[in-house]
Amino acid sequence: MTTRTSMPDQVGRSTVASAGASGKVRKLVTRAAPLLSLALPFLVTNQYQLHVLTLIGIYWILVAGLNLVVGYAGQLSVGHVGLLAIGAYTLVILNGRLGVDPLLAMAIAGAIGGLCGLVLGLPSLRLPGFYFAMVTLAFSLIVTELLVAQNRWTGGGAGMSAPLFGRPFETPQGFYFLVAGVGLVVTWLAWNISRGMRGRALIALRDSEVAATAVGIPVFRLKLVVFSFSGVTAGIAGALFASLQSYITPEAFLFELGMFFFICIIIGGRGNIIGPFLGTALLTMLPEIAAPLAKMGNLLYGLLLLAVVLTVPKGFGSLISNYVERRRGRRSAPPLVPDVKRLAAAIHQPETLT
Amino acid sequence: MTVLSASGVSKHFGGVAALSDVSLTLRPGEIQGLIGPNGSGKTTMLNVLTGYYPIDAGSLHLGDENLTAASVQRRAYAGIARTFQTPRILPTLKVLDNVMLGGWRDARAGLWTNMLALPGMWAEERQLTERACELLAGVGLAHAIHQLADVLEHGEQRFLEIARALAARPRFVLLDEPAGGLTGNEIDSLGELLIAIKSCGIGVLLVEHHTDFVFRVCDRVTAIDFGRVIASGTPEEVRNNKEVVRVYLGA
Repeated sequence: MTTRTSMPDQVGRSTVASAGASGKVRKLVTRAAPLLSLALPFLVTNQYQLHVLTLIGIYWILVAGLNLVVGYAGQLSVGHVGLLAIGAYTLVILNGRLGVDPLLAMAIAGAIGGLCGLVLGLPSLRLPGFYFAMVTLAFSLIVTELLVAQNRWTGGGAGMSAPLFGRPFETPQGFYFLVAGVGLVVTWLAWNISRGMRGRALIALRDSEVAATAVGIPVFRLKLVVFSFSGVTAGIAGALFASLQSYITPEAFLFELGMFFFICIIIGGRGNIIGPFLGTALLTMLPEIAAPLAKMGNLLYGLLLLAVVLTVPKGFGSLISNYVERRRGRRSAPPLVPDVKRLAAAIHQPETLT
Repeated sequence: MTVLSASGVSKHFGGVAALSDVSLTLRPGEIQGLIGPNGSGKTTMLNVLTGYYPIDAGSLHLGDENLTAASVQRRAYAGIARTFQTPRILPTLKVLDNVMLGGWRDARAGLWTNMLALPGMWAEERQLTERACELLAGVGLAHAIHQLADVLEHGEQRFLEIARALAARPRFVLLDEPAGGLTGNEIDSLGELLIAIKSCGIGVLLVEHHTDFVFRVCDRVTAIDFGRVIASGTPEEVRNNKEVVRVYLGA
């Protein structure tokens, strides 16, 4: 065996998810976040705060999937509100008209969301960025119109009431735990995708599709996989959203909400998970905290987006990684001296992967 | 011996013939140079070999396999790796991750293994990491493994791209002006790398303007002008070819 002085101290963890963020910070966040999310209901003082927390969790379930599409793969989908609506109406229709249990209906909503993502992605994910964004926009507009038009099933503009989930999730606190549980699982799945070869490949799609194809990455298929995954999370989020609101109309799924999800990711920063989460939490709370300003919610989003894009164009996430990078610094580069023996050994190393 | 051969390749862009009836053969363990004036079709040829441009006439074979109509990805899987005239690195990822990306064709963990972070994923990550570290040390970038790729200097980015190409365990590596923008010492290092790569049995295509460098390291050289082969042979033959001297090298 040759000496491997250059081996990183944490082999296998030198991953894309950590690009920039230090190991200690990451470890702390990954351990503290689940505990904190489960402890929160005991820290809030009233039902309204719990409602907001639950809403953050539901939005995050959608954004966690969307983040792989927008933040990692760089595909600018602004129409995920359409998939959210499909999930929501799947729940109310299955439960209200066919008597399906809400939990089962939520699972079906996820499946239908994924299927719709697949069907929407098939024709659109080959298009260049701008046209792809337009297709997703059109999709969300069409869904809203269809919900109004198909009033035999959806109740049209008058909407439909949504069921509570069964025991033990029927109380606000129980429901929060359901949302938190689903949220943690979805985050974990997305995190796993982001920190393996697929995470690297997604970032390659975003930063240099040409380089991605050169190493053999099946561009379209990979985009389709994460887009379908984001459809599943959007569908599940929709079902939970409907139940939280207890009554839904097509007006709950306007284009602004689709933009909102998109902005959460842009503000949080592309290519990481914690940033978009903070973005989602902040943007959801903002109009609620500043109650007198609630009517100016859209104005606040607009101003915040403007401020972030102008001052930290890479989002909150980049602030953390910039800090770490700056502390690490860059020593002046030593001259490039190849070690040809080691190179030859590395080239000859037989493929041991199975 | 598996060779990568292009025969009778023609490529038009609108009315412009970028390549006319070009034939080229890359052999394992050999460095084949491709030289010519600006706009003569060198990079077009490289893009044709790697599948970025479909060809209008001619054929491409890797051994017995017909790659004439194969996708870029199919060719990568067949063992053709490349670098770019302007390094195409992923600036937001670490140097290590950039090289690991090259191992995509060895990554077999399925979507579920990946999503559920099953042990198979970590075993694979470990092996890919190990290999990428060794390659980085081999090209002289051991000091930069954990740095973000966009802080690297130009020469380092070029060597990073070579390491990424090698991470794919290629049979042929196609380099698009790898010496561009390098210092004299770095060009010497590049020469060492190319010799090491070819002595491992990999075939190298070197598209390059630094003719001194090309004649020094190549085993065979092809010169093209206006998309046509004007000379092909040993460095000595091509250097003394009258046509090459006239259109390219100058008296």
